[in-house]
Amino acid sequence: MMNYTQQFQESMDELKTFAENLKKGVENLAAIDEVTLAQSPKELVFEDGKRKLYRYQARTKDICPVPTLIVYAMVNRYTMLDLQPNRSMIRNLLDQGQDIYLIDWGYADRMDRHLTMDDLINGFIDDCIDHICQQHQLEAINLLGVCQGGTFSTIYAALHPQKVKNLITMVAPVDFETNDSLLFVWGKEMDVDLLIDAYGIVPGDLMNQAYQMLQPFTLSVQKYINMVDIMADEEKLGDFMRMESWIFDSPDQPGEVLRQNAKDLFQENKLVKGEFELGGQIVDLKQIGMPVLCIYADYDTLVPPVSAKKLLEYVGTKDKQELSFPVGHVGMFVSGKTQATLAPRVSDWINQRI
Amino acid sequence: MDDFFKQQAGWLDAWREQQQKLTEQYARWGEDLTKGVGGGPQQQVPTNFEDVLKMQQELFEQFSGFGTDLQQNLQKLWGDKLPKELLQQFNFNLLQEFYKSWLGSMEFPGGMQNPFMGGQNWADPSNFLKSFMKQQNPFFSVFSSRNLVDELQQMFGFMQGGRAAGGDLYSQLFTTYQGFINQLATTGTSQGFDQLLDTFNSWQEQADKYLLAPQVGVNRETSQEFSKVISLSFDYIKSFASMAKLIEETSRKSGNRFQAKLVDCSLNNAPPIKVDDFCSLWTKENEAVFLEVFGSEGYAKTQRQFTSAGLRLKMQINKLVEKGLDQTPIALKRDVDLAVKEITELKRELRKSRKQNQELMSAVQIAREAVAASDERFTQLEKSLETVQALAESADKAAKLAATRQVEPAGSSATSVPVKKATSTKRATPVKKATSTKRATPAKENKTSGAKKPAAKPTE
Repeated sequence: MMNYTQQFQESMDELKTFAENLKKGVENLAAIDEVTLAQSPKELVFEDGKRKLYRYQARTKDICPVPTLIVYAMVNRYTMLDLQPNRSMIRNLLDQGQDIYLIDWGYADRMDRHLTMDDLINGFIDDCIDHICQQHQLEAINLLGVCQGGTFSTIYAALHPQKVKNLITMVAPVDFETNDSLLFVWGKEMDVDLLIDAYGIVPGDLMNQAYQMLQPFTLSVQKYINMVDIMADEEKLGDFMRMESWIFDSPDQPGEVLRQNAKDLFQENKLVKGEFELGGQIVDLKQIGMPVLCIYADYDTLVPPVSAKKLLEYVGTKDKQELSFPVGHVGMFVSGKTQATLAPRVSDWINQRI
Repeated sequence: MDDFFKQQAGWLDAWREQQQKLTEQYARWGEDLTKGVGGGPQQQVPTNFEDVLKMQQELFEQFSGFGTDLQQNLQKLWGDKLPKELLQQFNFNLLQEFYKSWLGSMEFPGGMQNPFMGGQNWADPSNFLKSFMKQQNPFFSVFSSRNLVDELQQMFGFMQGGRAAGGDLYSQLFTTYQGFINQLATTGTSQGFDQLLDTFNSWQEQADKYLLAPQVGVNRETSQEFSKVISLSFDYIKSFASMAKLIEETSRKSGNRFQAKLVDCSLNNAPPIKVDDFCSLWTKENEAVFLEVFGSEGYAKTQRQFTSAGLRLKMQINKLVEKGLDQTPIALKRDVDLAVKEITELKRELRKSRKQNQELMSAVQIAREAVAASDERFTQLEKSLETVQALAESADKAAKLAATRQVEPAGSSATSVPVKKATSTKRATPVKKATSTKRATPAKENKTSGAKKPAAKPTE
């Protein structure tokens, strides 16, 4: 046990370090010109207005003959998957020889006021898959959906099983019965119609505020206290700023998409009940007969593991597998724990089924 | 409290009585005036006119007295219970101000002096009357004064639907509203919120009676919409207060928990010495309490009420703003939304048509390939037919030759050569050709099980 003098000395030392870090950190911050994300080279291959399909430049000679289309969520930007070269799931998949396509939903605006889930799933996703199939002379490709994009991919695979060779869902909510996440609790109580009618296009900042409240002290205070510790280190500060930039880069949400997403899924849990309807068709998860890999994060506070892994109980295929990592929702893509293992395991799983 | 109501009732009786007398005297004075007009300009002040003006002075004093009494009673009864900002709303001095302003704003024809403003002596009506008589104007013309209508609207703005003229009353409401928000911000405890909410509820109840009552006048619709905005803003601020109360209670609980944890750490000789440790402990202990509350059904319902109240207010403001913009050439949100809806529908149709077109094109392509294959097949058949015919001819010749040789026996090897030759050349070529063209495209099929099947099977 330390005596008072030692404690005082230690506190003073810490204070001095804190002040030094802060000073250096401010200098570092001032020196940052621009925070750049998603730098892996890619080519625009198809577009419909602000929604775009990219193909990433290969990084290996041997490329998997069946390409993989990544469908990210609309509530955040896909840049999380390619945050920076040493934290990039996309880069890691490319290194494994996968041929990667990705949908960029863009930033919704007033023109997307009446866009529906049907427009996105039976519309744009289907167009993208048709385009890729045509380019590669294939009938089906791999579909990898992340978070909300995973839910979209699941719905697509159930409606168009003949076009999906393998389905991979990552931290994707499917069963909304659980109340393990605050978002699920709040989502069930929210007057969604009023929200959509009032806004039309729901501001991304509104969504961000809800995310902040999932860990109010950690995300609003503690994070920035901890930031001082790393501010003096340019590289770490750069990492922090990139993450910060991604966190608050939340596109506005097309009202009708959010309405159906919140009411039919969060509030009425129609997907697993076999009552979810899209484009005049009931989505039957039993139609998912292709191999399915369900990936979830053990400490996910946004999408509880149970909500994600329940998918496997409802799909029609016998070739199904779950894969979990001891990380949180975002950690799945940026954590050091997953960088070395996630992409190779996904890639192996795909290659075994080509 | 009983005294207060008695006093109020008594004053109203007295006021009604005075109004009756006043009306009677106006009538008498009007009659005198008419007589005067009939008999030429009247140079003398009618005897009862001074009484009329004196009565105005008395009425003004009564207004003032009533207002002051009411204000004092209010202070006595509610002064220690209501927030200061709310009490300001019940400013009954408005009554006397209104009356004074009404009288003072009268526009008198022909440059007559107004005895009720500019430091004129209320008790000395003779100057006014003399100037009035001098100008020979009818007294009641003052009631057509625009200022008077404005004043009425100022006081009864809501009922008149006078948005602009009634602005002062709205601003009073907003002052109270802002006062309540300020009070919210400075109220330190959940008990404070309780008291504030009770007060606000009763105030809102009263205010809503006026705000949501049917209105009249040319601007009634706009005025009604504006009143709804104010009423909805009450709901919003009320639900905000409920949320603030819950957060304040939770903050206190989490603060207590943190303090207890600090004590516990100290008792165990492990207090957080470093700032980082201290902050981490603070975050951990506080967040645990908040997350427990955030996860509760009660919080979800409070949050719903809060957000819903805010959203309803936003929608009403949007409506009002659109109403205001209606007169301008600016495109309204609802117009743009309609246009966007049309565009979205057209895009859907376009996509559908494009898909159908693609399918048709595929079908056409398949049909073309089938026709081409048929043509080829036909050509093959023709060639085969030719071959068969040639063979038949050869066979016929051979038969004839054989018949001839039977008559004249000779060698038989000549007939086998053309038959073999015809078979190898005529049949092998088309089959190989068909296979190579039709299967060339999906060459990757063997590598991937997801590869496309050939669009059309080669005819064999």
